[in-house]
Amino acid sequence: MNRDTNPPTPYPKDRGQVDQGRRQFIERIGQAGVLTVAASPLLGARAFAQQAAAPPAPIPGTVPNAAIMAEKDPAVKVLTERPLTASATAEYLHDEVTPTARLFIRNNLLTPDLDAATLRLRVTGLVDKPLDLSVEELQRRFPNVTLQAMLECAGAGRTAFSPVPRGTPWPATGGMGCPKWTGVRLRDLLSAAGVKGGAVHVAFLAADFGELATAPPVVRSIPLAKAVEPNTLVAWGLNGAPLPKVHGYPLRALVPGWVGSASIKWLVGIEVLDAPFKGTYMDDSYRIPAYPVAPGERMPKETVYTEAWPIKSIITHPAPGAKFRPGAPVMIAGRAWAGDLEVDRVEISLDEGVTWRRARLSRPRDKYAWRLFTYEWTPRERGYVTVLARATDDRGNIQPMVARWNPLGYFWNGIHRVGFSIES
Amino acid sequence: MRPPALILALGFPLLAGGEELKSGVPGAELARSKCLLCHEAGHIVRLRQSRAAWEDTVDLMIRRGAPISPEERGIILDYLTAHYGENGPAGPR
Repeated sequence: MNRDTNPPTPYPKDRGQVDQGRRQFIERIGQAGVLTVAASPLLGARAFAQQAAAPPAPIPGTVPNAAIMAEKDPAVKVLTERPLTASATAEYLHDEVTPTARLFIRNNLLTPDLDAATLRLRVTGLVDKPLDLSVEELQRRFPNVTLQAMLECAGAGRTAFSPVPRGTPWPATGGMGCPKWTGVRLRDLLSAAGVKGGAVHVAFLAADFGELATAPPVVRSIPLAKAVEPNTLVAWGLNGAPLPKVHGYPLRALVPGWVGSASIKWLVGIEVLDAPFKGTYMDDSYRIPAYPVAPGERMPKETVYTEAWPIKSIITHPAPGAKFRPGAPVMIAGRAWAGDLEVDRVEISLDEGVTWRRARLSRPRDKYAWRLFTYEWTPRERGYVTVLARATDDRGNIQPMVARWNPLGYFWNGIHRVGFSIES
Repeated sequence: MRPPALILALGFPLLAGGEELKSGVPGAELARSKCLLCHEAGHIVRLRQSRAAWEDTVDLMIRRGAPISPEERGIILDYLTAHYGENGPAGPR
């Protein structure tokens, strides 16, 4: 992370304080507190200038939102612009492999415009031999793997909570997708570096930066056991093409089944630690209360990290409001996934949960790929119909009707309900 | 004033219909000058939160680099609670 000894840097030179924060990445390990970058009286001067002036000055070293969204399907709706977040909803997520153009966007800061030719990935910390790799070296030196895996924001579905917590206003079925990823196994990198005794967590450092120089860099860490799991990747490919810039070009972490924030985009550093990383993206976000709290309550002192997603499913067909005819079969279909676990079964109800019927469930593909469920049903009478889908994992955990409320609105996995009509 | 102009000036003309913070009231200019450094107004306008929740929100933003002094924090919290509080008047949408 020290740009003084490694001149090629992926981020613009005027991000001095952000660079300083990254430079401290190594130094601050083991210290409490972290990232105390002093405020500057000149902060935000550019932002003020932008408000006053037209046309807008593009922010150096970043990709404008309009250019990003021009690559997306119209079904992907912008939810917030600063930072950029966008998603489609369930009826547009029926593809077995989520197309890149329909994959959700969740930025914390700006979209950096990085150069794969000069970017370095460094593996440091509790290792015998630190690594310092170009993208090309990474691709050439380690076995390449391609797998399909879920990526889902911790707050996916947040607006289904009542009251709606602050945070990205994901629709009830927004903020998730299951594309194919290509990269190298993180454990191969860690083996090459040689993990020392006492290693507990592995931290990912991102190169994105904010509009203020005081914005701390995005750093998240995961337990060593998850880091060395064979499906955890340093990825450069998405659906057979290089990662688009907004999805982390040229390198990102992929921590399948876990909250999306663990899958750090614009990855430039991997550090093996003797404890979980301490920083705002570990301690202020991506936590839930250690015990249930009443809706609307403040976060209690006792909290736990969000890690693997709980059992979940969405109905991707029919679309809400679809119309069918009596006597013609309707294929009810959707996708189910279960974090680190396996989906055991999916049941369908056509009477608001009074009775349930087992859906057909596709075979597991890659461990972290979502699974197709289907249930063919032939309506006999006209009228309005609702369908519910309820998944159960291999440990017997069943999707609830309503997910447990928590102050930051994570882990919405309430049963998805879709209404449609039979018209004669 | 100027919601469409502001959005355009910021170069993010993606959302249909701009939203703006309630202006012409105590704290409005300060809130605008701080919050809109990094966010569009929609982040605030869509929320209805208690003062405690706004405290948590503003304090998080300070930890994420927002240049807000303790005095400014109080003024901004008064503004947010008055206009985007749990029982506040209906906002622009």
